Amino acid sequence: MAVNPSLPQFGAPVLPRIGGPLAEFSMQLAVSPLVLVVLTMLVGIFVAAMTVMLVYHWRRFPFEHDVFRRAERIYMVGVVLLLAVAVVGIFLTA
Amino acid sequence: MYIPMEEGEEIVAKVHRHWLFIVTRLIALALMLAVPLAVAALLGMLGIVLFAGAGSFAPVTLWALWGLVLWVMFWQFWTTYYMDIWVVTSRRIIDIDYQRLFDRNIAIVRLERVQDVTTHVKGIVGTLLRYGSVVVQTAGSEKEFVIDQIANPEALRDVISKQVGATRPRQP
Repeated sequence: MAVNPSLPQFGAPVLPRIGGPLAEFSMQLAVSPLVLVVLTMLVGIFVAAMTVMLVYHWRRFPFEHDVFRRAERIYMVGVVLLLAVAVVGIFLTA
Repeated sequence: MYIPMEEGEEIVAKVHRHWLFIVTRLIALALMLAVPLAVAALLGMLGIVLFAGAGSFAPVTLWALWGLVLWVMFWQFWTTYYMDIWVVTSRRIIDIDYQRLFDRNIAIVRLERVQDVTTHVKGIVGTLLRYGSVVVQTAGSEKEFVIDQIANPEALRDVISKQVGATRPRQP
């Protein structure tokens, strides 16, 4: 597929334009799985660092142990679910 | 953080800031989560397609990653909100004031030093949602001990007053 150098490049060939009211300004991005993997890794590092800090505080707090234990469980479930969705998205893109 | 309880000391009340202060942040995060969807929908309506072809599932990943960042931010907000706590025990008032995760102040006032307890409820929102502050006057060099932005300050004032009364020996 021919690559239009005037359009932004994100690791994969740019797809052809389609029509529409603002066809002159249309932009299509084809994000490669590699870009998604790198982004996921960066976000993963951020989330891991924040998780360590949050859990450190939750476990050392002198009051409300039950609340923080429950919060830790809910937090972890959310992180795992969202990471799983991100990974599935990568596999479907690849 | 270690705040040991004294022998025979009991926790009488635990008070957090009013829920309004976490809900406003929650709304802001929900809006931030919705912004990419709204922008994508708007661009789609205008005929500008952002993702297509093999990368058509890329938005799912990008949105999940964005959601993950916001999820972590929410829990950081919640932690600083929930750890901002005032604990009234049978002997002391403990104020743990979290500004950020690694920025906290802890103040402890013994009930014997409490001289006066007053409440302040300001503005229409404070009156309608029943939040305000409790000011504890103490005999020490730091004259005031302010418990700010809490739900139902009158109830806390009554609890503190009752505990202060219980710690003082009765007049014959």
